[in-house]
Amino acid sequence: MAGEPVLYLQLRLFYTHKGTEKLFESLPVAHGVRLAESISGDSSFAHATAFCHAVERAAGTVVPPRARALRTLCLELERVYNHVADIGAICTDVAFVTANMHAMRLKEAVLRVNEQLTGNRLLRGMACLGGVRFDLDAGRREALEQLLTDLPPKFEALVNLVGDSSGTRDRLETTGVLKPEVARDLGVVGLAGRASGIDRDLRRDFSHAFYDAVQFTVPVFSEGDVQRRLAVRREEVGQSFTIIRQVLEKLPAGELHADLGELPADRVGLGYVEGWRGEIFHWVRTAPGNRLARCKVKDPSLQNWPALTEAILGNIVPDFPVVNKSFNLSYSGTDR
Amino acid sequence: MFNVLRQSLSTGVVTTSYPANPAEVSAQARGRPEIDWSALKDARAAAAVCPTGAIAIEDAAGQRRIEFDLAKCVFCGLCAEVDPAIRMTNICECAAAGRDDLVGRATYRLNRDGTHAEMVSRPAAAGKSPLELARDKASREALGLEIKARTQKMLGRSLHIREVDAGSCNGCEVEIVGLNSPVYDAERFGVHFVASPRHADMLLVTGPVTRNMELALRKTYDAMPAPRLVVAVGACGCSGGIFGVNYATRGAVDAVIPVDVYIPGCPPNPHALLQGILLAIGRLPKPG
Repeated sequence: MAGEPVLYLQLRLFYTHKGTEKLFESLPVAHGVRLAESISGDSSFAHATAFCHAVERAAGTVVPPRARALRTLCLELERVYNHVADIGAICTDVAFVTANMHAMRLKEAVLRVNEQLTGNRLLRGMACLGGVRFDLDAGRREALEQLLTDLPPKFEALVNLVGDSSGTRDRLETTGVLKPEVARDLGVVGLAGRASGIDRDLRRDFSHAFYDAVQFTVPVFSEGDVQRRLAVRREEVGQSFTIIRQVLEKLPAGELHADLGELPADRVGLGYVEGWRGEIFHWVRTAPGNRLARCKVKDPSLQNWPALTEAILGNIVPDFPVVNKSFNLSYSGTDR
Repeated sequence: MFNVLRQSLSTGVVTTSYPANPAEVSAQARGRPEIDWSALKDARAAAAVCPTGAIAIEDAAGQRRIEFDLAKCVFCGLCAEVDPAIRMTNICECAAAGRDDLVGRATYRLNRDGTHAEMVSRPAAAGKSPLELARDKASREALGLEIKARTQKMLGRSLHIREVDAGSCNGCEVEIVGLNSPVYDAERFGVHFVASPRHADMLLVTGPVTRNMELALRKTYDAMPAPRLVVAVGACGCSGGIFGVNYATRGAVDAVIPVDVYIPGCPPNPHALLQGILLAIGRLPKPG
């Protein structure tokens, strides 16, 4: 620092290293799904699904369409609750606490629907190898449809509240700029990348789950400041609503999960999911006896942490929290 | 400015009345499992599907000892799918002051095929927390008054909490943040989160304690003024959870610092967190 501006930011990561990848090797593969849910708590379902994709690919299993559709629903619900919470948290960091109170109220509404759909507020226990564990019966469908009626206008009111606040805009625009060329050099992924001109989204580019059956747009901005990272979240929540509506319309009938049978040894599989933060990869090599010889996990935070050290340069210290929050990277996902 | 006010006024009050009224959880919520010990015929299947080893079996001399540890349970419900004697409830508030209050044990004589014959020793009645016992309104109010008196005497009307992520996946943090939301509003109990252990009365610790965070956790605890309370949050904090003890983690929080209250769950929802925090306040020394 030189007075207020930040000249250099050094990251000190890996304090929460838990030996997760090694642990996958000692657990039966079915238990690996529960472990994957605990890699990054706010991306429980995305990590578990990426893990399932990897194992299913190694086993050559075809996941039934209904399961793929329900996975898509859960991935989008995870995106919505995290994006809404982040929009609120960004406002808090520039002293607009009222907006955060509204955002937390909306997030709570999503978490309660998550609980009705899957039994757990963070969607844990829903994922399983070959598909999903719980069906969307009439009661659950009604709860989800109610959320789709109630939430969008409330979310729009929140967005207007933030958008109409000139003081908030003043703090967010041109703050924490990550230039597109820097983002490209660092290989920044996910929403942080899309705010800095990197037009990449696995849901569209390497379609997985049920994303090939729904229409949606991928918001991209090139300014790369906090305001644009907030804008990507804002637009994506809207897109999530349309994706969930389309999935509900097209929801195929059929099985909830396919049987994997005995896992063949020495096969490899790559699983990927566009989580709310960005692309999540799991790579597995199977071992005899329904076990894994290796599981490599890559959370989007891993690539994006260095971007924070670039985006903060030249900003004043009081803006560090909001710049940090606008990336909202996971310690646990990085450290594993 | 006018818009901000209008939106706040039109929203009205959204805060729950917990604990004066029961927790607002849906019927589909998976809370703690309930085991019908007398109907448990063969625990091997349930033990095999349990990802965290919360259901552990040990066969010796024609007998099987079964241990169910709620502190390790992640409420996934897989055991209830394979064993009709196990049922998932939607009860999420299961905080306890003693580690042993979370464990149920039973021993059975075994048949030749490995199924259970008769029960040799049954589990002791599980320890119920004061809040859980206080189901009726009158005793709830009495308990509330007692906690209030103790808090006032010891802490002067408020409780300051320092939260420490000792290696958590941050699932617990998602719910802890919820305590500050207008829906759960922990401030109505005088509960307040602070940024330094020097200002704190209570340490709220999440995660299996990683070896890299062990020293930091010890130092944080040492920096707190007495009287101090420690609450271990989540399956990982209570027992090490699915991570257990390995080359990178020390497991449960109580392996590193003394713990007053355990809050099981993966993650515990804000109701469960509130119950655990209130239970911990009740553990303060009696005034007078």
